[in-house]
Amino acid sequence: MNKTRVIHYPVQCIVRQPLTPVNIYTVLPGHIRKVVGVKAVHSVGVQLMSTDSYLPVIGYLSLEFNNRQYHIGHIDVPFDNRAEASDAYLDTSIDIVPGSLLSGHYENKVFTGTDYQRANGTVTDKWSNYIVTIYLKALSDD
Amino acid sequence: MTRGFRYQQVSLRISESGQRVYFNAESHKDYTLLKGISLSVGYEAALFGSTFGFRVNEKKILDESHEAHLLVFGNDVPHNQRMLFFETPVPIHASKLEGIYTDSALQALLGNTSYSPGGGVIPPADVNVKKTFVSGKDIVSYSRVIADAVLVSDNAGVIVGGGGLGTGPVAGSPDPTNPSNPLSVYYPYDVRITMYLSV
Repeated sequence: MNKTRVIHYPVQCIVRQPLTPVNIYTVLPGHIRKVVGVKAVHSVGVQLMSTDSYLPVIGYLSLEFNNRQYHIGHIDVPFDNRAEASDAYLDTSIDIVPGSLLSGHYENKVFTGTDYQRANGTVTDKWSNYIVTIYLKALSDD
Repeated sequence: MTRGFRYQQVSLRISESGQRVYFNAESHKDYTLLKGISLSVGYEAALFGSTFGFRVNEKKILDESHEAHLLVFGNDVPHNQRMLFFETPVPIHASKLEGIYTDSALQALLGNTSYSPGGGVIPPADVNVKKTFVSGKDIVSYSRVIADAVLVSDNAGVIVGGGGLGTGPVAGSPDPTNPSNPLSVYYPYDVRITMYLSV
C-alpha cells in the first residue's frame, strides 16, 4: 500500500445536558498528517426525543486544530434520520502537528425548555443523551 | 478475461441485537485498486447506531466505530454513485479485506459517563469495545459469511469468544416486538458489503 493513504477518523462526543456546552479535548493519533475534510453528524439519541426525521440544526460545533493554533470555524450539526447518506465533507487542508490536540466545543440548540432540564440543572425523563460524531478525512502515514 | 471493474460483495447475517460480525476475504487477484465501498441493509432503523470498520492488509481504512448509515445511499442516488469513493484508491493485489459490523453499537454508549457532567469526547477505548481485527481470537461471532455469493461459513446463532455487548435489546434501540413502530428491526437481517474494484 502507499505510505500515505486516506482514512476516515471518527471522534464521538456525548451530549448529556441540554444547556451545558460540551468541551472537546482529544489528542489526534500521531499518524495523521493532514486533514482534508471535516463533517459532523448526529449519530444516535435525538430520535428518542423527536418524531421528526429531519431537523436542520440541533447544535453548533466549533473546532480547533494543532493545539488551538487553527480555528476551523463553526459547523451546524443537523439531525437526519433518513437512510440517505452523503459522503460530502467540508473541504479543508490542515497540516497536523503529530500528536496535537483537537479541541473546541459543541453547543446544543434543541430541547432546551423546562420540559427537558429542571431549574436545579438535572434533566427530566424526556431528555435523552445523544452522540454527535466528528469525522475527519485525513491523510495518514500509518 | 478481466474487465475494467468488478463489484466484490460480502454478505453478513445479523442474528440478534448488539451482535458483532467479522469477516475477512481476499480481493480478486485480477484487480489492483479498491475505489469505493458501500453497504446495503434491509431495515432502515438497523442502520442508526450500527457501525462498520474496514481494513485492507491490516491497515485501517474505516475505524471500527464508523457509522453504517454513512455508507448506505438512497434511491435518488444513481447506482454507480452509491458508494463511499476513496479519493486515493487503495492499492490491492489479492489483499486481505477485513470488516466488522456491530449492530446498535452506539446506542450502548448513550449512558456513557466517563467525561464531564455535560458530556464530552468518548474515549476510543469505550467506543471500540474490543480491537478485534488482528488475531481474530476475540471475535464475538460471525454467523454467516458469503463472499461473491459463495458460502464461506455458516454458524448462525453461535456466539464465539467473549463479547463486551449483551445479546438482549440495547437501550434506545427500536422495539422489534411492536410491528406498528416504523423503526422496528427484525432479526435476523442481512448486510451486504459491496467493494468497487478496478484494474
